[in-house]
Amino acid sequence: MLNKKHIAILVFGILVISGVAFSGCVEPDEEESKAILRMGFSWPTEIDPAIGTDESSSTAYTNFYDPLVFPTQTGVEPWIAEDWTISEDGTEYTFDLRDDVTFHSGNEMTAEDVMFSMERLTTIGQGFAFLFDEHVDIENSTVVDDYTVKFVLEEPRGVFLSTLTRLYIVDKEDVLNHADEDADLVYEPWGHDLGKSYLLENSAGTGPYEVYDADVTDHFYGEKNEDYWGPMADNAPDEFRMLALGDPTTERSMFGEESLEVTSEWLEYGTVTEIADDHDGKTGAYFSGGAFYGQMHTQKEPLDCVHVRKAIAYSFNYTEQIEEIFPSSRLPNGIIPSVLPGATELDMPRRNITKAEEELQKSKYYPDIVENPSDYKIEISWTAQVPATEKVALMLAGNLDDIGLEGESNKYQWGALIDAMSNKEDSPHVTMVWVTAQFPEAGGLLQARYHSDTADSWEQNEWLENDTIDGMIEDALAEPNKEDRFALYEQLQKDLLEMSPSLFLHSQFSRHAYQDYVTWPHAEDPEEHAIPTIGYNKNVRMIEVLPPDER
Amino acid sequence: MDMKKYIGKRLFWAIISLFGLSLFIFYFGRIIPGDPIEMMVGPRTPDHVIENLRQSLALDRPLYIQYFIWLRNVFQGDLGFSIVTKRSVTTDVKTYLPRTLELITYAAAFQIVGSFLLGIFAGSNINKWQDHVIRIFSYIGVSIPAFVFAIIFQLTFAYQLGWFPVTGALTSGFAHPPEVTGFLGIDALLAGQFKTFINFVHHATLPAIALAIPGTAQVARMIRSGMITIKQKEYISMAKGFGLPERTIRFKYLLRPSIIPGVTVLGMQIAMMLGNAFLVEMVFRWPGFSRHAINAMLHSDLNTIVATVMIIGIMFAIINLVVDTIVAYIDPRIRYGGRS
Repeated sequence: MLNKKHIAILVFGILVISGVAFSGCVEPDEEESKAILRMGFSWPTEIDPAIGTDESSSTAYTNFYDPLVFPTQTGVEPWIAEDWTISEDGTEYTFDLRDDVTFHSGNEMTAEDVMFSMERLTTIGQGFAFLFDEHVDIENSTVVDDYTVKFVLEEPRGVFLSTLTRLYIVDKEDVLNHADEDADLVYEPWGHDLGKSYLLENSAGTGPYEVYDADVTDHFYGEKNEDYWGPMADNAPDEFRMLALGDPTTERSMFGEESLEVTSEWLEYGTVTEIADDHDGKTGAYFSGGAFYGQMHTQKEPLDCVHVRKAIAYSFNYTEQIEEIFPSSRLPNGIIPSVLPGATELDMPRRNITKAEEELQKSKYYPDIVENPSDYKIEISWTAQVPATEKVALMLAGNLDDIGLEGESNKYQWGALIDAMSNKEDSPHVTMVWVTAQFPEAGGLLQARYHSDTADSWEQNEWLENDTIDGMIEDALAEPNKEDRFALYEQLQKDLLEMSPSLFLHSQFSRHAYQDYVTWPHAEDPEEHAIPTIGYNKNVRMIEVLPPDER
Repeated sequence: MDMKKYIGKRLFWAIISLFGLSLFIFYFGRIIPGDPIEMMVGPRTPDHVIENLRQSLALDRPLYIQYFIWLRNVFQGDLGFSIVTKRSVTTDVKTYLPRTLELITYAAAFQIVGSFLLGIFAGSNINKWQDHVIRIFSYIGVSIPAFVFAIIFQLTFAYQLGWFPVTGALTSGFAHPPEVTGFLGIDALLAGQFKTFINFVHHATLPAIALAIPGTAQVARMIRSGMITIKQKEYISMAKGFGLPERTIRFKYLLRPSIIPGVTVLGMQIAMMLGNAFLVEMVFRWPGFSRHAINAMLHSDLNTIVATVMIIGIMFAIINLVVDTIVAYIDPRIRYGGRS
């Protein structure tokens, strides 16, 4: 029934498809000869420094903006602020600013911009605003002259300098020129959106890269700021491209055709290794300043008993978790990662069934647990977006079985988990979550993890709500003297370990596959270069990429 | 019933259905666990900031008020605010939907040509090896989702063989055409940028074929079955007995009634591509609306979720209308309410 005409149509169709298939021989108008660094990220990414706090947004800020001071392995170093003085009572910080910094717009950066950046951040109230909004007395803070700015604090705050690693300087003139007065949300007394719409797709910073192409759901492309005032590696890439990725197949294929230089953060260990091995790439890991916690709800039966919590802590097989699931991470040697300034090394629980059983027997719930174990079923939640957490949840459930407790692994979408954790009654018994320091000091993570202010957030499922711990955290953060502050952190960490509110699963190492023509100091020698603050290890100006003709 | 009345009636019911769909998805979207504002802002955002944002998006109002505000805004061309892209959903739809529609159009072309050729070829060679091969293809095509084909094609034809680009809609270095219609391929042609057009088609080929295969397999099976059924009808034997030319029997008496179920399903399959494109766009990083919609759903972006479902609904309604019209044209009994 199929005649010659039909066959001819079929052949024509095949020819058309074949023609299209080989149309790759069409050359682009502009040959690609630049050194480009393309990195995968989970999305969405915010490039407005008053909005985001996550890894990809923080990476954008590091590369498109400059902070007032820069984080290091031991604290902070001068950056936009060359020098500073602190008043005796610890409430006034006066910063001398560099006078050779220009914005991407060409405008000169002055103290007005620094003050505006702080006002804008605290007025919008999102992103890293929580580090400043209750502490900085904006009304009494002043621009002393073009290159001097004075911040007045409501009360002494020893970690203020460290938190300034999160104050990114925006171009006041550029932002105000693009402010939208008709936006749905306008800020008073400004009467406009403080440039939020504009900064969705544009950078108004002084950073080493400037956004030139943006698609908020897909990518941000930045080109090198040739007038950058700061240090930059000789072969720093001409372009830095942030790409929305996360699918292993796509990343593998892109890596194979060299349209991706660095894989995204949440790929599984085996996938990262395979991608690098299959294409003569490299793998590298750096400490991100975060840790993986099994957050135990301390107000929910039977976890409201410290002995049950300790029994669980002794039952878990930490070593197997590292070996089988997260080989690039490290066993914890404290309740916060040791790379954070102010962290204390402690004798951490390791799997010991005898000790676990002893602890369980001390619990008031023990007789009933033996009689009716299913009445004390421990719900272990994990997030669908990170499949590896399921393996940990199942491992913990298996470990609990070894000591006569029943565990049940439950999958949550991230949004649903946030929702559940915002309510004390709905919070699961245990959640598996990574929490990262937002500024380079132990106090930042201690506050995020155990202060009552965060009890209803995803950073804390423990619902510790302990006035003594709150007071200790607040005292430590306020202490101006670094040694004294670190001593307070130490006591705090010891006390928290004794309370055993969490399973301290591992110190987080972010692991990536990257091309052999890329040199990435932070990932290649983390002991020497990695910075324990999220976003700062993807500091592209210090990464080297060979141009295509030199590979 | 004449054709105009028939179309008018179908249009009326399509509008009623869309209205019902908007009500359903609006309420359903708002009972999904996950506070969109909590998802939008980071931890430790002060309560007053959260409340301001909630008020600005009218999320503090009763659900029925929220619905009427949304409906009023929709009639003014405003689909609401996206908490993922932090801008109007209308802007997102204008930006990304054309890419998806281009991909679907391309896939639909593959599907129409492929399904008819395969269906007719199989139906013409019942129980011969050609028929067996096409049936095996159909089983595979129907049982495997489009995104699996996407992954297989990407790994085979892009990654291993290098015949096609791995991701995206345009190779870096090709100039983007000036935006006239928002459709990249059409704009490239309008601007005379043929290289860009070819490069775009080159990028679209694998995702389009991956999208087209399940529907192609399904429709090919239906056309084949239709042909087998109709071939056994007495009027075909009668036509042969009267000595009518083979060509007339084939096209007028056999093919025409055989394809009616196929056309109906084909229409639905094309409409369903918008949903199937979600993961295919993700695999190929195709900068379309479906890929954006996945992210929106994972982040409880209520207005984008509603817009996505409504767009799929509108697409179904339009294609349904077109298909019903075509079928009514092919078989007039249908528009006369089944009277023979």
